Amino acid sequence: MSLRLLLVEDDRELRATLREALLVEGYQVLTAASLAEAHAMYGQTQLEESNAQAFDLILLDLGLPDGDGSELLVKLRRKQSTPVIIISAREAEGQKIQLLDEGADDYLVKPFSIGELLARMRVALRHRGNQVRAAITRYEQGDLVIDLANHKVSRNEELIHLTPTEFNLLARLVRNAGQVVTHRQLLVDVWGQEYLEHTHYLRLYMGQLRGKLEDNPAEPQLLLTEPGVGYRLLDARD
Amino acid sequence: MNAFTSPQQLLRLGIGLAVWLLGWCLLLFLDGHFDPLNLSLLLILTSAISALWLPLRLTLFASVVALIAFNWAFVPPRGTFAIDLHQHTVLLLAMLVVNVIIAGLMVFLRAQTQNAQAYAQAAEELRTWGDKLRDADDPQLLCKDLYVALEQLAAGTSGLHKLALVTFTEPLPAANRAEALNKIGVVTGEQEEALWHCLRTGQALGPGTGHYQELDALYLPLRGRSLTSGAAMISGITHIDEFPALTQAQALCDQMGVALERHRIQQQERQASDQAQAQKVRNTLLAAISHDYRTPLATIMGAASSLDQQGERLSGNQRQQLARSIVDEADRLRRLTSNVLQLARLDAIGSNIQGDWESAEEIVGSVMRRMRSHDPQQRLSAKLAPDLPLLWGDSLLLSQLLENLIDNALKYSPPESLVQVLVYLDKGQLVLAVRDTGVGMATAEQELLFEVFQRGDHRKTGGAGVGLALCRAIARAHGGELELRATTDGTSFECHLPLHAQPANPELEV
Repeated sequence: MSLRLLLVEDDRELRATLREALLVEGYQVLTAASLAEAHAMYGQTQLEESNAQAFDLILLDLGLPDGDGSELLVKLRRKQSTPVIIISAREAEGQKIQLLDEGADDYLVKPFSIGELLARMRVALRHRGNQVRAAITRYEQGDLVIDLANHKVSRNEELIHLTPTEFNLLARLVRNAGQVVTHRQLLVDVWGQEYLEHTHYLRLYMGQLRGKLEDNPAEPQLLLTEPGVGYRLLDARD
Repeated sequence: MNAFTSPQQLLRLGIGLAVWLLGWCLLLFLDGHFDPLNLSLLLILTSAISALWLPLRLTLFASVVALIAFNWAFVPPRGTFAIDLHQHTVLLLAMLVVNVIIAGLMVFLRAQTQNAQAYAQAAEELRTWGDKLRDADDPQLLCKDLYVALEQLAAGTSGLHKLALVTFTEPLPAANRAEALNKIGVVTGEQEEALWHCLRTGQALGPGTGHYQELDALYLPLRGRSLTSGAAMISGITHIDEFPALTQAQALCDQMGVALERHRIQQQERQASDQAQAQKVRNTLLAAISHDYRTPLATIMGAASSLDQQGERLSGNQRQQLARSIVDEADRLRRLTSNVLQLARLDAIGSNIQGDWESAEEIVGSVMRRMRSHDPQQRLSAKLAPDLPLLWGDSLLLSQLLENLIDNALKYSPPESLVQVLVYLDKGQLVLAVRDTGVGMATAEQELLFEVFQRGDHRKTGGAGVGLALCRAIARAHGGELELRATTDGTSFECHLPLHAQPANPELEV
């Protein structure tokens, strides 16, 4: 059974282009041009199917003619964990961070390439239903192995020593490998709510982690920076 | 009028009387040695000399008294007022007339000299005041000096005076608003009304001015050639005679008015020229932006229309290449759009950037990763000094700065030259540098590029103008500066950023 996507985008040209491209990749694509249409489609499909998850993934534009796409995201997140990827022309980091914190799985700024979109979709789909399935506990990339269950990080079978904070930070990124984790999420999950403003802790520990895990810390290939937003651990399958 | 009150006037009186005393002593001493005819000349001489100091009436009075006394003491028969000889009568009468004429002439001469001196002093005062105003950067700051000068003029006259001086700096408001005025001195509401009237009409008001003569104060406008910039008030004057320095005061005020008007016009001219300059920069920027958009659009249009119209006749490989160039050029447009947007945003917010503690290493790392796709020949490398402090800024903006500089370096240096990103500390500043090793032409060309861009003329920059303009705006928004330096084997664009006190680090773990 092919995966069902809902594409919410008001621009006709872009909607048609993306739809074609996604159909070629074998997805089943339903489209909506407005917030109302998206709501209707969502309700309808939910009635038709006994399946709790009407869609496997939602591609959501923000600036829709009858409202902001983020409304749909907020409404959706109250009930379900369907992966949502925001596609928007808005570049402001503030909004990006807010939407990621509100539960968006990823944020793509227009214009983007199909290749980029497909890669982000693959990651989002893999993380789908994290709450019910066992979380990712093992990460392998090249000669690096991160085993969260056993608290072990090794390269070429050689153990790498990490401090407790370094390990917690890395573990948080591994759980969302391939996805952006915002500064806020990292600070709250690793240090605690009261450390929200301590971005400089992240700079320090990410620097240390890169020093231990990267071949060339000046040009990291694993622990990637999303300027102004957060960090992303390279997807294990990229 | 109490004419003999000042010490100076008492001194003059003393000297005049002393002259008379001396003259009489001499007369008494010479009595018997000369005949009365000769002595009478001595009397005329005494009268003439004393007139140099004594006022007119006193001189005349003293002359008449002296004549009668002379008659009594020296003219026979001595000891009486009787005159026995006719010639003596003629002598005495002639003496009287000569005395009066000489005294009158003397006093007139004295008054003339005094007037000339006063005029010279007034002229000198006006001249120094004019010089002072001319030398002042902002005549508004000299209001206090004008106030003092008017105070001195008022002090020379009798009566108690209060002074006030108002000027305005902004365009004259339609309604009389007190806060629009720059005020020295205290005024009542009525006086303020009069000052406003004086300011708006440019007419002097009060006694001796021909307008509102019944007022008990003088209101003098600070008149320029076409605009009145303020007004001064000298209160406690009910008649023009009480303030003979009116003309002088008005002249001082008018000089101030002219200076204020001139300053205002200069400021307006400067503003207009600044605006024209800003408009010129905007226009050239707009021209540069539309030029920069055209090139990638032309490629996209060419490639896309070729795919559209010749699609079937093209080989798979050719189609692939055309599609590739559309993607590449679209990416260039994306970067350009982002640059333009960011430039407009920085223009609007100035240096109020959303800062955070950022690591130069991370910024360079993310930029390097993204730029690799534009660098198939591996010309790009990065070198960072160890243990760099954190910097305070907007990482997205700083990434964009580095990306633009790297993009320029890759595009404008010879294809074999290397491009290096360097981060180091220099003289208490963090330097983000992008160097290329292009020899000869590249240096000269980039120098020109930067100069041209600094002049706001983007015609010759071939698309780098907007990017460089943004880089400089980003550097400045961070309190830093973007510089271009020629190195021994190439050029170096360097962004100097100020360092900030570092935040406290967490405790070290093992």
